[in-house]
Amino acid sequence: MSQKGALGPLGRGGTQVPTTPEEGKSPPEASSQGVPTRGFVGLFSGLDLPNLIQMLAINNFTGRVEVRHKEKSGELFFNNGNVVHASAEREEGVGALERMLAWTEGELLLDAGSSSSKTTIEIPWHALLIQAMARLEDKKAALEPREQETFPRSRSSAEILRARALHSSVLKLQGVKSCLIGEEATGDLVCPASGPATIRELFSELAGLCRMFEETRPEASGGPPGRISLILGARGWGLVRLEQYLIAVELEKGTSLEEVEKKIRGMWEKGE
Amino acid sequence: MSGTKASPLEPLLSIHGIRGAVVFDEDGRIISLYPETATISPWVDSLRRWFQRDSSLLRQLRELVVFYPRAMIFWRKLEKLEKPAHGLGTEGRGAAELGEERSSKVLVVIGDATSSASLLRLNLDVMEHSWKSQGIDRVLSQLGSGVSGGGFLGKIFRRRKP
Repeated sequence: MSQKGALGPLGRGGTQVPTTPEEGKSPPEASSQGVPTRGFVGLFSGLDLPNLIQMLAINNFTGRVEVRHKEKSGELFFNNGNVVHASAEREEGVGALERMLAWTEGELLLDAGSSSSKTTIEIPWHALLIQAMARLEDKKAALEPREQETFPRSRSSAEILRARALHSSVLKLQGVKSCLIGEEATGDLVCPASGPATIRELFSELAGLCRMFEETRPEASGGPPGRISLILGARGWGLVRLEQYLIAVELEKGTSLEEVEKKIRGMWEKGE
Repeated sequence: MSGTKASPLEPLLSIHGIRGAVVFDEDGRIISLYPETATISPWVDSLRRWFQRDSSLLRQLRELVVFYPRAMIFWRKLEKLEKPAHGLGTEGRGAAELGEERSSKVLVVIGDATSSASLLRLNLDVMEHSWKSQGIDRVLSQLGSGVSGGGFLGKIFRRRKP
């Protein structure tokens, strides 16, 4: 049996305020037979579409998501967490998803259990999101005035998604107990997005340590350090420097940082 | 017999890729260096600047290995438990029972990129155990004329109470 639930509005910022149909929100659509549909109505004002896709993917969701934006609408079909079909504004596949990702407000309707007879998307969800968000960012950048380049560049959604995807993959590696990903230059933690201040402080300190070793390296070192291992208290940590990012992994005893580093670099190159 | 005492750090150089090793006391003074001609300044000065800061990271730090393309730096805090009055070992008796206080030294080993950190770690574990059982101060004796590190390492140790 399918389970429907309307999630609206689609927007950014704010907190999740779940409501029930009795609390005044529009109830989910009834089935064609007029039988009341099981489900829930929720106001997810802090949820945007990329986050929803991630959440559904991580939870191996199978079903349909309807996205409504003003007079427009589109739909996404999931099969075991992967997006298998998207359609919007007479377009299908990745192009349709890109259109929907550009909608910054609207409503979402979940219909768990529904399946699509079409398959227009055949790439893993994280690669799909990265690709779609990157193209969206490129389109936005092309429209933005050039003088903005004089200001510090903020992280794009595509960059954040790529870092999140890597974070999720690193945590699945054998021997990795925890993982922090952030920008080495600023010491800002990107993943996990939220956490205690002590974790942010630790990451900032680790980033500072890396910068010090890069800036003050002796000539005989042959270049900046690629990785650093530390024992903090009784816990083993490894630091891997990857483009602008610093990846800090807490390792189980006996885990080779060199092996973990190779896997991280491989995953990054593959866009996992 | 020459009568020259062999450096306790000498065995480290038998490990493939290891070029030199140095031990500092908690005030940053060099108390043991091998080989004595080893150039350590470019490797140690950056650590010195970093350790002038006081942070929770530094207080927790026990070991640090930096892998450069052509070099490896291995840093380890050597902690000992000693009885101040007699400097006796601690084997078989708890620190609290003996009224001991904790003090530390820092070992820095410099190697090339081919040196194995895990092999070095294993050797150091064995050596450190041996040094502790003999008394770290006796094994790593004060050189007296060592280069002052300006007290930078003292910041990262739990200092003795007056």
